[in-house]
Amino acid sequence: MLRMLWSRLLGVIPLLFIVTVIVFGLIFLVPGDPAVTLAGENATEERIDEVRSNLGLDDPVVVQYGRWVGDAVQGDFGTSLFSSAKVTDLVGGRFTTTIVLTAGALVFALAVGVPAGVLAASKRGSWVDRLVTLGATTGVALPSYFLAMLLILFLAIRNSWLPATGYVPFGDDPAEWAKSLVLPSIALGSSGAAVTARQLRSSLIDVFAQDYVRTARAKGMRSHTVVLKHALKNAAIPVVTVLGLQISFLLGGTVVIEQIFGIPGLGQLAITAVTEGDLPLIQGIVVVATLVVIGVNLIVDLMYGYLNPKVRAR
Amino acid sequence: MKRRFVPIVLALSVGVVAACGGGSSSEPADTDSGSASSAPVGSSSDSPAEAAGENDPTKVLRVSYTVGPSRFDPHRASSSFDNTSLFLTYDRLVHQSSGAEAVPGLAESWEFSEDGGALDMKLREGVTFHDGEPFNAEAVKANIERGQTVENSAVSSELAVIEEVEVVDEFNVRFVLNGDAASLPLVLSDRAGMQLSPAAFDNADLDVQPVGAGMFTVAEYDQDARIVYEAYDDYWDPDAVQVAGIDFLIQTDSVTRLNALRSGQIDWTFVDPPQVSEAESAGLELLTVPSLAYYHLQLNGSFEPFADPVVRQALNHAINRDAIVDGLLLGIGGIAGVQPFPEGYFAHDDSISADLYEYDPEMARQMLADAGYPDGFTFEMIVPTVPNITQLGEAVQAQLAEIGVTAEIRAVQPSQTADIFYVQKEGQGLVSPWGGRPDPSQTLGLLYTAAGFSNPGALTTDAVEETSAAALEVQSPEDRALDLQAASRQVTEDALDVVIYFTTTPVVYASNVTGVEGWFSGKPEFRGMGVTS
Repeated sequence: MLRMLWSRLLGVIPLLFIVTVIVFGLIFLVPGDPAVTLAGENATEERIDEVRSNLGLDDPVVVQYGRWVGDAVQGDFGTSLFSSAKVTDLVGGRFTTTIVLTAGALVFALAVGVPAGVLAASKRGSWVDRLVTLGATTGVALPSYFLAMLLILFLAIRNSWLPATGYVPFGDDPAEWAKSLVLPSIALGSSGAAVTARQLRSSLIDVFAQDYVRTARAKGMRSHTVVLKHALKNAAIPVVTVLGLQISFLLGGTVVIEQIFGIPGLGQLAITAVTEGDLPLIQGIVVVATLVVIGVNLIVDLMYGYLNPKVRAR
Repeated sequence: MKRRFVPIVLALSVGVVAACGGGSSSEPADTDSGSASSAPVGSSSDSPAEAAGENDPTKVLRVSYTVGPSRFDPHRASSSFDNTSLFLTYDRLVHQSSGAEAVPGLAESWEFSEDGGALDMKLREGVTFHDGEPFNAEAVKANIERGQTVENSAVSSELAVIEEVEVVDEFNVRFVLNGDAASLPLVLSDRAGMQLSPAAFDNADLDVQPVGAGMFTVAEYDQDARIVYEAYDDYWDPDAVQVAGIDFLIQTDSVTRLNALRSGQIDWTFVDPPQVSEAESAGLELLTVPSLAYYHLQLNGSFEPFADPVVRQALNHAINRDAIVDGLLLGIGGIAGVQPFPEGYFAHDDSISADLYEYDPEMARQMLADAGYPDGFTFEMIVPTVPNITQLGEAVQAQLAEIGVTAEIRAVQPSQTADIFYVQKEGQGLVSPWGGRPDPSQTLGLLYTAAGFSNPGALTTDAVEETSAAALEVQSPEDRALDLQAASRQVTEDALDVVIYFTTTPVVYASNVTGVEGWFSGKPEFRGMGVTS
């Protein structure tokens, strides 16, 4: 187990290297120069040259990358080209918001997806099953931004039950914090709920056909004990796999959802950074996002071990 | 759907009524040209909008805007859009009226010396910065010098005309100039004239924590998300501050901003043209604000066909401006124009109307043939990848195709546009917005003189050089306006540019907001705005 953890953690290093090199390369392939923007709107060519050399933007790409890596391994991700704020501060400030939003979406996905999947599998072929299947298909097909618009229109504008935009930090007002999270979490998590319900339904149906379930039922165990205690754990493996993928997907989805709800998260920061060509900031965001995805994958792998002792044995 | 626009002066006084879309016509605003003696327009506590009820000084005005400042250091803030958030907390030597003319700010009055070699300013007495430091001639001298020399200054080129700042006495200052600088007062109404407390020059947190002498202090700042402003009790013009603070949200998406307003989370914002009908049907107040900013097809004169004035005039005749305004902007997002200054502005020459370059593809084709291009030509047209500019670029491309000119679109990242077209001098044409400048001479100099930074092919004519130089000479505001108009006329007749339309911004707000004005500069100042209970 520990060895697996070690090898996974070591594997992160080459992965991060490749990812940051790609991002660096992509940005340098795009023509243009942030120094021109920075020098102001009434600039002269001398001013631009001055800004460029002050920021070291006139050094060769390899030198710039080397400098960035050198600082990054010491935990210094540099300063934003445009606001001269520390990248770690900017990303750190936004990171929590995005993680909270992602978690909210995940909670919604599980809270809706798991019961729906269990119900549909238990009552296979009934109207409940058909309803869940229909709902899940719609949930997957409906783009999150469209659902977001509908939710805002009906729950925030026509009826002012929930805020239409914005995010209130937990520390400021826990009740408002929860309210500000409801609509974005639903919009972001709906496809996750649908996928979870579908996965769980089909894998539960497989498990129900297994001998041990039949045995459990035959010895008179109550139906919900069979489902919740025995079947669910074994049916969970494919669901956990899908959930792992969903989290990366949700993280990407926050870019759109944060924009619609005006939530100051990592996604919004990413859009600003990319449109301004703010290289250090883009790199910081990419590294953090990569780390999150790697972390999630690691947790998923550890979950396999918990759910299936056969994996643990290795 | 054709709507009418509220001229600036009308917008100033009408406020709420204007929201019903009732402006009479787009008649030019009656601007008296730049006298330094009129009262600051912002302190319009007599706005009839307040008939709706008394302002409640304990209320916070909640607004949503598209961008936050690049930084709060006024001399290093690099974008003119920074002005909206900076104006609230930094006061400038010179203010702008809502009609974009120079009016007294921290300087009560100013006068050029007889030979135009110096500008004398009398400063307002009794002003203190937010940190308690006094505002005086020494502070002005220190600020100008900092703007000229601070590392990564974004205003040094604007202040280069000031050779030296002399402290005459505590509240009188003299700028010794090294060239014609009639534009200086309005230049000082921008970031170049913002006054920062000299005690804060070396503050490490200046980029996030401003120390000015403006209407509000910054209590909280979450970059690109929210700025919390609190009223500065000692502000020299109490009428300008009618609220306890401003909650300034930064939301890039127009639909998001409108949703926030409709659900009562904010009081004031502006939207894109497609959201206007929704805003109106939701019962919100609407004010359509014209501005100095325009969209144009800019030409690089080093490309042979564009060096020929007949070709440039043909291009002007090929553009169907009305169709673009009606089709792309739904008739409410812009006003067609051919001069580099909009109607109602003191540098606009009223003797030239948009008819000068009437849409006439037939004639344009003939003109091209006369100029030696019977089969047209092909050029690379740079178009930044912003949705509305992409649409405009495609419309221009289609209209030019009508006269046999092939514009090959090269899409570029918005932040890289200036570098590619102005510095690398790539591409022969550029479709983009020009934000306007505080002083008309800045636009003339940058875009239409050979030395202009934003004129990659040095496209100009002798007549334009002469008229632009004349407009920089120190003279009475009335005479200078005439010179500016002459320069504008010359630019237009020589077709140095293909101006398409001036933007108008639909401002929407809740009915309990008072004192809403349209700012010609395109940078709302929120002076004197209030919220009734």
